[in-house]
Amino acid sequence: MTNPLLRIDDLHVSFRVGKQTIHPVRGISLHLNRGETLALVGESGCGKTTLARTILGLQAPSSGVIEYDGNDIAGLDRFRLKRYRPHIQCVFQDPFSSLNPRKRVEQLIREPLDIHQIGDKSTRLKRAHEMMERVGLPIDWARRFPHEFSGGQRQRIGIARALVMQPDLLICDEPVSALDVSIQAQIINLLWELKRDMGLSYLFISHDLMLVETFADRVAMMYKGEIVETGPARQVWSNPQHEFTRRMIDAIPVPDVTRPTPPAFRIDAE
Amino acid sequence: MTNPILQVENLQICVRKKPGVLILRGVSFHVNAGETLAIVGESGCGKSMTSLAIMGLLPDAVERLSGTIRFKGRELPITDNRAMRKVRAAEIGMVFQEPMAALDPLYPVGKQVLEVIEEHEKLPRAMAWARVIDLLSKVDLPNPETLAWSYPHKLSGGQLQRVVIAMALACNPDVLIADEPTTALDVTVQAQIMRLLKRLQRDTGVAIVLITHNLGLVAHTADRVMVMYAGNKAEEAPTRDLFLNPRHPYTRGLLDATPNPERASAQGGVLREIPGTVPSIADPMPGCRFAPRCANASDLCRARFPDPTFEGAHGFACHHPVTDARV
Repeated sequence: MTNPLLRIDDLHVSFRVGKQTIHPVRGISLHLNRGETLALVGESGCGKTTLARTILGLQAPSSGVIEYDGNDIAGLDRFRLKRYRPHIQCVFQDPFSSLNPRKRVEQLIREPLDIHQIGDKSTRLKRAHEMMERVGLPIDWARRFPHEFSGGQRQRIGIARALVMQPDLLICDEPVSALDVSIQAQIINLLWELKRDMGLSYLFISHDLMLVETFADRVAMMYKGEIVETGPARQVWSNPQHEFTRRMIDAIPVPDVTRPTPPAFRIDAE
Repeated sequence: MTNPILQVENLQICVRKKPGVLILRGVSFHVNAGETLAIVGESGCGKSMTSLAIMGLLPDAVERLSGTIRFKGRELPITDNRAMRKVRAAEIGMVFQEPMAALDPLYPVGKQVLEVIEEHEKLPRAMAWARVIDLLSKVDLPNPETLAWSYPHKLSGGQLQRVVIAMALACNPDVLIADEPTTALDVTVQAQIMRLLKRLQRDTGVAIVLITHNLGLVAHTADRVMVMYAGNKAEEAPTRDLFLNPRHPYTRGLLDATPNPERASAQGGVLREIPGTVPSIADPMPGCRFAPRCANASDLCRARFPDPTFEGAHGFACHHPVTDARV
C-alpha cells in the first residue's frame, strides 16, 4: 500500500466572529491517493470551503494533521509553506472575481512562475502560451484582458494559471457551479483530460452529488463540519448509508422523466 | 380543454435605439390556466427578459420592438407603469431568484407582505394583517405571528423565499412567474420550495411559469416545457415528450450534457458536451443561431432561420430535426 498524497487527521478549524467562536471544521480525517479524484460534497455552510482554505494554508487550523506526501504542513508559516505551494494549486468558483481585471491573460497565467522565479522571462511566457493552448484558449487572445472572455473561458484561464506550476494536487472549489450546463460539460471534460495526461489528483468540492457521481472516484459527504460518509461514488449514490446523504439524494431531481419523482417533491405524500 | 390565460405573440426586444441588437427575436407562446410551463435555457437566451416583459419591468436599456402580451384575452399595457401596477401581484405574481434582494432589509417581513395587500385592496388594517398571518402560515412558516415582525436578515434563504412566495400570492393572482426560484438554495430546501409551489397550485389553481436552467426540476414539476436559445424559441412540448423525444439538436445536446447518474453518457470525455459558445446578441447571422455549434447544420441553416414546425403539441424550429429517440 502506497502512502496517500494527502492525509488529514482529526483536523479542527475555529475562528472568532465578533464575540462568538465558530467551529466550521470539527475533527475531519480523510485521505487522497495519487491519481485519485475525491469529491467533497455538502450543502452551503457545511465547512467545505474552510477545509479547502486550510489545506491551501490560507486558514490556520486549530489542531490536527495535514500531511502532504508524508510531511506535516498544518500551520506552517508562509516562508516554510512556500516550498509546498507549487505542488498544491486551486481553481476557484467564481471566474469573474478570481482574476485580476488589470492584467492580461498571458501575465495572469505567467504570474505563479514569476513569484516562484522559475525559468527566465521568455521561458515563462512560453510556458504560459503552452498552457493556454493546453486548456483550449486561442493563443492570439494572449494579450487580452479577463473581461473580454466568457465565463467558461475565464474558468479555463483559472485552470491554466493553476496548472502552469505543474502541481500534483489540484483543489477545485465549485469550479463549474457558476457555469451553464453545456459549458459545465466542457470544463468537466477538460479537467478529466488534464488529469489523465498530467497525472493529477483532484480534491473536487461541490454541492452537486449528481455531477460528481459521474466522474469522481470516491465521495466524502460533509455535514455540519464533519465527514459523515465516504465511499466509491457509485456506491454512495446507489446505497447511501448516512441519513444526511439519504435526505440529499431524496431531494435531487434526476433529469429523467422515466424515473419516479423523488419523495421530497411529491405533494401526495404530505 | 386548453384555455390560454397568458399569450405572448411575436415578442421582439432589442437594445434601446439599436434595433439590430435583438435580445428576443420574435418569441410566441402561451400559458394555460392552472398548468406549469417551464422555460428552459442557458444564460443570455432571453428567458428572464421574457418574464420581465410580461411584468412590464423591462430595464431602461432595452425596448420592445414588436409583439403583444395578452392576459385573459386583453392586451397588457406593458409600457404603462401606472397601469401595470394594477396587474402586478393582483393578476400576475412574481418570485425572483434572490429572495434577499427582493425584500427590503429595513422592514419586518410581515409589513412587506401587508404593503402588497394594501396596494391592491381597501381593507381595514386588522383584516389585512390577519391575511398576512394567514399567508405566512400557508407557506409553512413557523410561528407566523412572531415571524411577521422579524427582519429579513434573521431568516434563512428558504424562509425568505417563502415570504416572497407569500407576497407573490397575496392577492390571488392567476399566473405566478417564478424566475429561478431555487437556484440560490440548497437541494433539500429546493425540494421543499418546489413542493410548496405545487401544493399552492393545487389549492388555488394558479398557473406557474417556471424559469430555470435545471432540467431535473423541469422533469419532475412541469407540464409543458419551452426551450430557448439565443433569443429564439427552439422547441416546445409536453414534458415527457420533450425528454424522451427531443427534436431540436440544442434540446438534445442540453439533455445529453446534463449529468445523470442513471445514464452513461460518456463519449471520449465524461460528459457529452456541446462545443463552442452562444453567439453574441450583436452578431447579425442570418440563419439559425445554433448552427455554428450544431452537428446537423447545413448551408440552409446558415442562410435562413427555420419556421416552427408543429407535430400536435410538439413544436420545434429546425431544418434538420433529430429523429432518434433518447434511450
